[in-house]
Amino acid sequence: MTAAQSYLEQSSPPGRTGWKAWLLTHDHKRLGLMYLWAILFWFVLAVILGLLMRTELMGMGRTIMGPEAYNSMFTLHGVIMIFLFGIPAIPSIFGNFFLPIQLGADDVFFPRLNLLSWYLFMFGGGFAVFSLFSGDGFPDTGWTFYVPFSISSAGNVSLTVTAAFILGMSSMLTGLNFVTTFHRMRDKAMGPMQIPLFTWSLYATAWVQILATPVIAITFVLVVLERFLSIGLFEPDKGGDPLLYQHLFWMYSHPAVYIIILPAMGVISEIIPAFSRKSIFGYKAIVYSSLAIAIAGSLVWAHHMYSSGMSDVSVFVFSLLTFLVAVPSAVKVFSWVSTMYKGSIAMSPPFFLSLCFIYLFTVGGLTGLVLGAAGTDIHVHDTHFVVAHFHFVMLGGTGFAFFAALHYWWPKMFGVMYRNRPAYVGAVAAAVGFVFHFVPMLILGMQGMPRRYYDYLPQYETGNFLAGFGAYLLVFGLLLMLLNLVFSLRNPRTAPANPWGGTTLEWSIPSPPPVENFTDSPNIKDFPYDFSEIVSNSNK
Amino acid sequence: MRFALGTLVFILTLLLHAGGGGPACAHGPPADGGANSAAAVGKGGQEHDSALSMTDARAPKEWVEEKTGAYLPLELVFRDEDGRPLSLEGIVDKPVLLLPVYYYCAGSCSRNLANLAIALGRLKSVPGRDFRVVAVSINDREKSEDARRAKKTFIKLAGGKIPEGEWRFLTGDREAITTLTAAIGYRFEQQADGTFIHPSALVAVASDGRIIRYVYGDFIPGDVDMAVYDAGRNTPSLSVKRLLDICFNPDPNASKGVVLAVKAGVLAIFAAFTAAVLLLYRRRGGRRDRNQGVKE
Repeated sequence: MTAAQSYLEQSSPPGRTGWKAWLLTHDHKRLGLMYLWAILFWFVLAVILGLLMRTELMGMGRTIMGPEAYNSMFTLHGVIMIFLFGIPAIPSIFGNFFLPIQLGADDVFFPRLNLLSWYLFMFGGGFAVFSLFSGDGFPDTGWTFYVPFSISSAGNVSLTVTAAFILGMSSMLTGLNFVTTFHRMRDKAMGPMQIPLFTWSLYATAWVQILATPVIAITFVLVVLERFLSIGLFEPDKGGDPLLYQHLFWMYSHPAVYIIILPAMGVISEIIPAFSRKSIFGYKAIVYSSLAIAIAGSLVWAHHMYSSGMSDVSVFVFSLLTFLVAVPSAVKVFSWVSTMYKGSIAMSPPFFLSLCFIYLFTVGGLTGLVLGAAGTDIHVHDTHFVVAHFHFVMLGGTGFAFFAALHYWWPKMFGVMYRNRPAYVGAVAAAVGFVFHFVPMLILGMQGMPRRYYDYLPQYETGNFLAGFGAYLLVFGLLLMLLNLVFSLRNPRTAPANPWGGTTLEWSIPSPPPVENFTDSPNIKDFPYDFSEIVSNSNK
Repeated sequence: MRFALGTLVFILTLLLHAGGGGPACAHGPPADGGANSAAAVGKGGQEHDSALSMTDARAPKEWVEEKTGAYLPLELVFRDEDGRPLSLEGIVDKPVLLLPVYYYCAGSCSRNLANLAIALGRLKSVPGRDFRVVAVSINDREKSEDARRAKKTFIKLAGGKIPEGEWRFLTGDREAITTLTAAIGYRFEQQADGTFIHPSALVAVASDGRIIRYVYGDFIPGDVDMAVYDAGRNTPSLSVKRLLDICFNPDPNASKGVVLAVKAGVLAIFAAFTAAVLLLYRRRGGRRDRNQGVKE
């Protein structure tokens, strides 16, 4: 296989050149790269916003921005990180690129729809930013758009929820593509228990995307109708019920957390066995736990509404279901750790980042217990403890898994190896910076510092000042890893087909892959994580 | 074509709306808000003073229209827990947390009062020394006895964290109530069953009666502390958490018909979906049988 035949050299459909080969492509791999650049842009923007906020908080009172700017910034930081990074990052980039390959297929089931998803994503993102600079400015409702404030707010709520609607459509179409590809394009020799775990996690996520996203889409349409026509669905003085909005909102927005974390767990399930040179422990348990998280996670939305005025029975049921979700999550962590036990560990940047994921995600889960139990939640409710917990799960979890995936699959996607040393330095800086940034926030929260303020009481100054340094170290680490990867494209060292000793199908084809993915029919193994061949080759 | 035209019209409407038009923005709070715009907000407050009342149809759409930077009408006279007249001037001589509620509330008022009572014990600032709490009933039918009973309950819940004289429970006549709530931009509506629909919010006021900050929802200690801190410095500041809670007393029986219709609709959709899937499978099965028949 020559490099000229790779998807980077040859367009799909054939014959297109220049920008047309990219902007009109049907190739899932090219679309994965297009998502990559767009999502990295949003990620870096949101990181800069976050750093500006932390800089403001390093000193008491107004330092670099006032309360209005701070309010807009944390809303924008949240909206970008959730809707333009967290939800699409792993499914849209790595899912698009690797799901068809791991299934032995040449593309997704609806390639044109895949392209439409990308355009909707770009259009929705642009729309969200447009709503910041037009009219009365960005909505000051936070990312939840809670009624009745979102109905009466002078901010650009209508435009922003329309942007979220469009982004939701993109996410839904991607999910649809994954489910259909999973069922209809899978190699005939591949049974359900021969499918790689990353693909399984994407499949579980896709169902949540398909079933939950329409709920939020309809809800946002209702908010727009309320604003224009005052139909009174959520207004108590017109016979409506504001709680109804909260139910509808969380019916999507809680499963959205699983849309964010499930694919990340899939990534870790790929990386841990590859660098332990050992079959994944509890393959079936991980598959079923992915499905269980998707199903149980869709039924726990009302735990965001305990204090909104629900019946005791509802609180009991939703609380019980919430605790149930912890079980499949713990099954995964147990399986990963057991996979490493007595494995032949080969340290590498993606493996190191995966270890960071397990550690940080576990801390996120444990601090989640503090919030999930009503007795302890009272003390830290709406404080910086919540912010720190959320970032342990989202950035420490999905963020580190995203970087692990980037380092794991970069040689396959571009056919080049990156330098290990800057990757290690970046990963260590990011992990240490992360801990030094968010642990003080956990402590500040326990001391009672409320979130969302640009200012604070004098006793919180030391903690905030120190947390600021952690933030700078974290951002330095993240940017160093990204730059190292980007620079690897300028001075390429060719990557072999299987640099890590992976066993799933993407490692059986050239790096970068050819347009049709497989030139010969794929060799489907009885078990996707069978390392006997890899181990015996390395022993020779 | 028609769809594309419709989409275009929809987007244009949205853009027009974003440009500042539209009914929902007519009474919107100023987008800049906060300390620097305090004067502008105060002016806005005067504009709306006469428009706000319990039943006025021209009342603004917002449940709380923040009037940060404006001043309370301190000359207003209410009744204290013993039925004695008490002007606001007499109690707003240090930072005050003003909490509009009603004492026999079927919704969240009691929870809010309880939250505040518990929060008082966990503040960095000292209740009584740094600030005073004033609960005002928005129900002009409530009497001093109701206020006295509420005071007994919530002072006890506060567990001695606040001296009795520093948490006042006031009642007043309709005029005093509407004037005060108009001054703080607080809307409420009485229902046919005598209960009220009203937002859950408290207002931090400086010692000269200046409105400093609005605190919404559960009154967590951190929020209350920040409000007291700013009130002590007399610096009006932007509210940060506007996830407004609405206190109301829903009657589940009133909308039973709608709920039943929705249930029937959902069942019908699921039945139709299941029937369609079954039909599809039966047809595919039949076709397969026929194909197999041809092959054989």
